[in-house]
Amino acid sequence: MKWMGMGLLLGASLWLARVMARPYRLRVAALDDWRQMLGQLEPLIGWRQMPLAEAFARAARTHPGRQRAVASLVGSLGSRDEDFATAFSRALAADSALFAEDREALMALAPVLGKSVAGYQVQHLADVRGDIERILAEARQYGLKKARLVESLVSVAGIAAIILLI
Amino acid sequence: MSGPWQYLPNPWRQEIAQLSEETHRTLEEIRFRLGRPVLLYGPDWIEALAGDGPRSLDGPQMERILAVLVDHSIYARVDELRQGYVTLPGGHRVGVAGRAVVANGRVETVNQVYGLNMRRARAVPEAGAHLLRRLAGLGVRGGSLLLLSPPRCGKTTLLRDLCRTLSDRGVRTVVIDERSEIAGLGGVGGPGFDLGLHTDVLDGWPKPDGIAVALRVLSPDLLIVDELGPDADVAAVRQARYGGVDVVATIHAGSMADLAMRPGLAELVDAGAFDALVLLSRRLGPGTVERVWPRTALAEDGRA
Repeated sequence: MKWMGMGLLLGASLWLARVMARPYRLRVAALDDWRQMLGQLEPLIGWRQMPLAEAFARAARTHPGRQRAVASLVGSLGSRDEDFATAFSRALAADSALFAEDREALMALAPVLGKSVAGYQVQHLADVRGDIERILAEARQYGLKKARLVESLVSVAGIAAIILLI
Repeated sequence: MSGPWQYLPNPWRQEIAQLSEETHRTLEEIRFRLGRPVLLYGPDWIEALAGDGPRSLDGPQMERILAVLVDHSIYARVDELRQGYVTLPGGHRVGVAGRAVVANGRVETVNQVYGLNMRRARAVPEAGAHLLRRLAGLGVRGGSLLLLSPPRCGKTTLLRDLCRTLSDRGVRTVVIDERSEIAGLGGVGGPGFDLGLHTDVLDGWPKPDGIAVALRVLSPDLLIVDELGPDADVAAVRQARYGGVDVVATIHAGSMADLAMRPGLAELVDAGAFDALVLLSRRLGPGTVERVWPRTALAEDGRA
């Protein structure tokens, strides 16, 4: 019985550690997806001049984690009743892996995307992609470090509790 | 709801959907003007759009309507905006009145929208066949025609049905659809009109380039061209005619006198490039064939 309790406690602490570290890992994956999507949007908008909804849907094809947010954007634009900024803000809100700072950086696109000739659009996308790359680098360096720290602390706490039980 | 109105944002889309069936049937265009109520135009009536929506339009509303009409993607429609219009799926044209942004002596785009004019494109089956029967009755055997009329007299509608009729008779036809109005592909590849079994569409091509490409690679019997404009268009039509390809074209002109004021075109007509000239009006509704001049009659009358 005692050994079973110890095993359960160890399992729970490891699970809790992973759950607590998960947002940091998901954030890195989400930022990487957005970085890649912005890179894909550049030729879709700049060269193919695809309408925004179609371009976002195409860019999201290879990023399953972002498809919910992009589906929200495409749906809002398709309803013809929302402006792009509102629809984009709603889409970013639907992407729960992003942190507030990430959404703020991406929202820089809202007032300008779709509103000028292709050359300027590509420039705007490149600027925001640069910001996302910077945030991603920080998230990889500090966020993942924090994730590992949280995992370690929670796991160590679990092991400490087991030792105390013994 | 059919027609270009389905592409509007609310509340206007909803208000238009609530109009009577009779109003819908005869509604030709809707005009949005800054600081004015939205006006509906039929063949012989004008009404303000009633309903719960805003009574007169402000700048942000005009911008919003245009943004929705271009799918929030101005960059994809810059070539059209540069010429003062956007075309919606179905070939419906929206004229855009606004402030031109000029760079290097050329209009780059339009901002500060003051007015939008949405015109419904229609298909009128049998209009083309009817005209061809009339031409045959006058002894016109060739297939090169010039349709002339002032705006809103049904040139493009008749041109579209002529294309379908001739194409379905086996004539290999190429449509040079610079404004995406004839085929109705909407500039972004929307659903289009039936243009016949043997028709290829060069969508969005400037007329001179499109005609050159069609002649070079698509081996047409007939070219369909809407709204001949600058000398380059006329020169391209001349090139096609010298190459033995028939051309059915339209041009804005209210009379033969108007036509004669366009030197390049008048010379083309005098050279016998067209087998007949057809003048349209709105006298009995859009598409009324007011008069037909077979080539022989033009020769007898002297210069165009």
